[in-house]
Amino acid sequence: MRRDAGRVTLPAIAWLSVTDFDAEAFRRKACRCGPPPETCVEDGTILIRYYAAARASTAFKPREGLETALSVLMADGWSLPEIATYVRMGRTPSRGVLANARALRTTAGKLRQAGFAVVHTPGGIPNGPHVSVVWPAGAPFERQASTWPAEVSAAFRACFNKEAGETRQ
Amino acid sequence: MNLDALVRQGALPWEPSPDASGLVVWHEYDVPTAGLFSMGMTRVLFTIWGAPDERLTVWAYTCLTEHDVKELSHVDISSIGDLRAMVDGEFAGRQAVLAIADNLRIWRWNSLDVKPGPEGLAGTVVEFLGQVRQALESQKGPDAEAQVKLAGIEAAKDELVSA
Repeated sequence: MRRDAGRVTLPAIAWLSVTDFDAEAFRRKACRCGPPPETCVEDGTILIRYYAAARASTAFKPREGLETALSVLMADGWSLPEIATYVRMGRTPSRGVLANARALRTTAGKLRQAGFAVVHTPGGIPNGPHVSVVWPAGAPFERQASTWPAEVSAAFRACFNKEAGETRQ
Repeated sequence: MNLDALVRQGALPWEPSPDASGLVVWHEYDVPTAGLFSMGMTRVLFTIWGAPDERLTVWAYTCLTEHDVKELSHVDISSIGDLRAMVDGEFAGRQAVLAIADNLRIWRWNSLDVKPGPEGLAGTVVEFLGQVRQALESQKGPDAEAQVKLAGIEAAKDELVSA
């Protein structure tokens, strides 16, 4: 493995081909903002990764058999309850949920520099805040790795601030 | 369509049967949490109740007509509140399958009539959870049943005190 200015490159990886992940579903949820969905989110855009503390060990890598991309939100300035409400399909989170909620921040540029594709995937909310992070970056509509090597997962985690819960600068 | 055929034990909630195809994701967080899929000629609306990083999640499914799907495509959605209102509104007054997933795998389910009105789905989720809890408690002796009820009171107290 070789590191070059923060970008993680691997000589050989087992990533999914277009037939192994639902490429059509991924295309359908991608934005129609104008620019290609993988360039739509500008490098300076603040992105938030929300997760429950109980999921800390798997919050920075795809769970095999469940997902091939991880979610972040264009939610700069949102409070933790606002972010949790979005994640829970608009339903108000309980005190217990909020006590265990974590939210870390990065930028689209940091993720791209580290070798990830940053794709605007708002789904049913045109211009919505949802963004998919895919590894490797090369062709996110054709190839998405179902498992990330430990160094890729570490590189993803390293893009974010260390203090959980603080979403404002 | 036989609603019981919508879900299978151990299936992913957004692909709850081998016959499900054509997933359209309206909302997601790591995994799809609301949208549509097809079962043969039938379009099925699904939504989560909870967050996908919790161990137990509730999922609701109902069948739509082509007319319903066409109407939904014209609804102006600009926020998560709009999306929730549209999805919950579609469930109101319909027959639905409610399912619990354990670690995002379908575990228990039942068909219920969703109450009418904007809070109809919420009320039906509560009713379904009561059914599941009653079924589980009936399999245990009174000591275990008392412990389960006590754990429920403890959880409710943690949520409500100083809320």
